[in-house]
Amino acid sequence: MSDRRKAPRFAFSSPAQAQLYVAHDVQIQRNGPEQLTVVSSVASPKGEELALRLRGPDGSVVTLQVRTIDSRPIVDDRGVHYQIDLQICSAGQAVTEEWSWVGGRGDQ
Amino acid sequence: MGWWTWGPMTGALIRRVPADVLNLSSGGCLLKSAAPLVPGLVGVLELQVFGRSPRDAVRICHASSRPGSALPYCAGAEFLIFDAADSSSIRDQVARDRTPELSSPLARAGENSGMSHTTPKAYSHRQHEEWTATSGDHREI
Repeated sequence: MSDRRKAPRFAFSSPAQAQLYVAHDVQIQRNGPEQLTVVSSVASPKGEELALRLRGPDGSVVTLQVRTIDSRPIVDDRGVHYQIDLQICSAGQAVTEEWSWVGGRGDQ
Repeated sequence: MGWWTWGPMTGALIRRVPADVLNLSSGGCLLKSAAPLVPGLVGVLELQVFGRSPRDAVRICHASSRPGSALPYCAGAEFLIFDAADSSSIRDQVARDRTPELSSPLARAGENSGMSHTTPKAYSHRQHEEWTATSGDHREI
């Protein structure tokens, strides 16, 4: 798209609430029923609440609601990354679904 | 089988950024947020209006800040098109003139996240009749 929108735009008389969901790939280092550790290219402040989407070998997907316990930079052959400890707050059931990671069908 | 028995794997960590949508068009929208949204950032925007949650993938095109306000970061986003818009798409809501159902009456918008002056945008006579115009916010950011 060009620098500015060309189509007519219309403003809400009062701003509409929205959520922007931004995803980053992570590698799971350690996992367990209550906590797990991931490596990400993006840091996460302590206490931040996130969703973690995992896809199993059979194609099923599970969404975990997690909270950051700790986040620390690490250096590996790919540069600086962040090792993030996550507390699992709740876990949905593994479901098989099509493309959709925002409140997708069958998500908990 | 519990997910923790799946063995080595990757995943996607998804961050939720609350935002206000100030205006929208068939091509994009203007957002305000408490957290900075950097140009190039890609995500899925989900509107919350009248019990509906239409959504579309977006990319942040340009951004600015207004220090001191509750939502100091302002960003222009474009919709990313991967397929035909369906009924759950924000683009579909705009294209089918469903927008008045999504929110209270809309007004012409002159606001954007750029620094240069822009004039009020053109809008159709039909839209003028159907969508009750309000004064809107014509300040430049």
